[in-house]
Amino acid sequence: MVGRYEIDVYNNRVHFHLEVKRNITVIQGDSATGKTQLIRLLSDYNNSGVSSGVTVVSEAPCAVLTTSAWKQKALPGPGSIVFVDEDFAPMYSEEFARYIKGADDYFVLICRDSLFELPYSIEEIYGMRQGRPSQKYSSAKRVYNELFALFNVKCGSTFRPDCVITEDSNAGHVFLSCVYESECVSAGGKSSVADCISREAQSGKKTLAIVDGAAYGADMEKTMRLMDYYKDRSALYAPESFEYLLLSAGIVEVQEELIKETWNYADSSEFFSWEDFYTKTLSTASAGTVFQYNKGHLNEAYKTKGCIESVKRILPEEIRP
Amino acid sequence: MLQIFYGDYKGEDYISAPDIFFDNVYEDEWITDELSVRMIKDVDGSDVKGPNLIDSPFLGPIPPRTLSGGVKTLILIQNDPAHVFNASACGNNCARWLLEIGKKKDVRVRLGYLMDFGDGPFEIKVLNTDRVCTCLKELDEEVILKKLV
Repeated sequence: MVGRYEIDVYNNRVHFHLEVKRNITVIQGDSATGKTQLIRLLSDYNNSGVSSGVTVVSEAPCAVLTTSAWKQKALPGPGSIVFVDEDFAPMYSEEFARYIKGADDYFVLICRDSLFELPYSIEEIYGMRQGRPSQKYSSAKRVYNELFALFNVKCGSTFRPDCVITEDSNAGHVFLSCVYESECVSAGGKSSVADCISREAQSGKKTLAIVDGAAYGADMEKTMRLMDYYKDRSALYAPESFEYLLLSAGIVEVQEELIKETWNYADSSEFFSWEDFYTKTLSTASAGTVFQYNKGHLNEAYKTKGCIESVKRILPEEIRP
Repeated sequence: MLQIFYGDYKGEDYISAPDIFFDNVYEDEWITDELSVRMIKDVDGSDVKGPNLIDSPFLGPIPPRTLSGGVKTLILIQNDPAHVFNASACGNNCARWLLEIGKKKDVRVRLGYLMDFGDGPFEIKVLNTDRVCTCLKELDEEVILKKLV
């Protein structure tokens, strides 16, 4: 499934609006903001259609996945936007992750707990925001909504890190070691980035973590919470992925729409996350050229001054070395 | 004291979906209890008119079954000591009520996310490690650095 979908669900008392554009969207937030009410309205509509008195406006059918439907293998799709409420116990299972991986559907998961089996984007974590009691309109707003994906750094200020943390020791780590002259540390996996920031910041170092925002959703809450205790000493930069940076810098040329309108190209049945999409796009576009890309081992061609400067130019000014 | 088990709780007394559990077990007096009335007003913005009628600013007159999952869970934690409830059904706007219930009696809940309990001081026992934390920083570091969630 590809595309971007605006969804409106309403009756005479409440009106919900959200937009989905990736395979996984997560809705969390305060109690009593209408999350479960949204599921109830969709269920009523799916059971009784227009006779329910509920109106659903969406270019793709909106289904609700219940535990009983899951057990009976009565699964929606293909081409559906599948809503899952927080009482759906299989949400945390590997089996559910396998189902989402490769599904020709989009999923909207209502859940406060982090879903470590799923590679969801920090951009697709939303909270429902209600209007005043006299208003019936609620819309989904991004929880992590910083311009240029840079967190914990004041706009216009300068953050010069003593230490740069990357998720792992793959090509991105090697490249960023060339971009920043400061110490560059691999966290040994994205689940350890938050601990690593805390450790380095505690030791007094100004610490910048650079992660793949397209799949960092599950780790975002704990990272932001720990960084809050080291406000002046820690920062997070979360572009979609390292490959996205290389593509955006124009080191390997690809059709601009692939980067600017990824939702029209990153087919959910093929890519578990946009991170996978950008890796495949870069690998395909660079195949047989001097820039042939290998995620596990950085091609020497990317270490040239020209490439490094190209990426530096697209980094947010606040953290640009 | 409020006692929290973080992550996967496997006990037989665990209720993972308190919203549904509430609908099938609640007692009328749970709704009209003074603490419940205050919690329903604060979290849902609704006024309790009687055991079977609540006035919601968004939904109009509703039965207890239509209360938010968060406030249902708080009412269960207050009234049913035989079970460990999944407090992930509660948003951050329920945190002060969990602390308030915990000031009056020992309650055990399960949590799967970093609820914001405010800066403190408070007393929360992390059941995974038996440590009593007295401020949010201490609690966050205990939970995150020990990878409890």
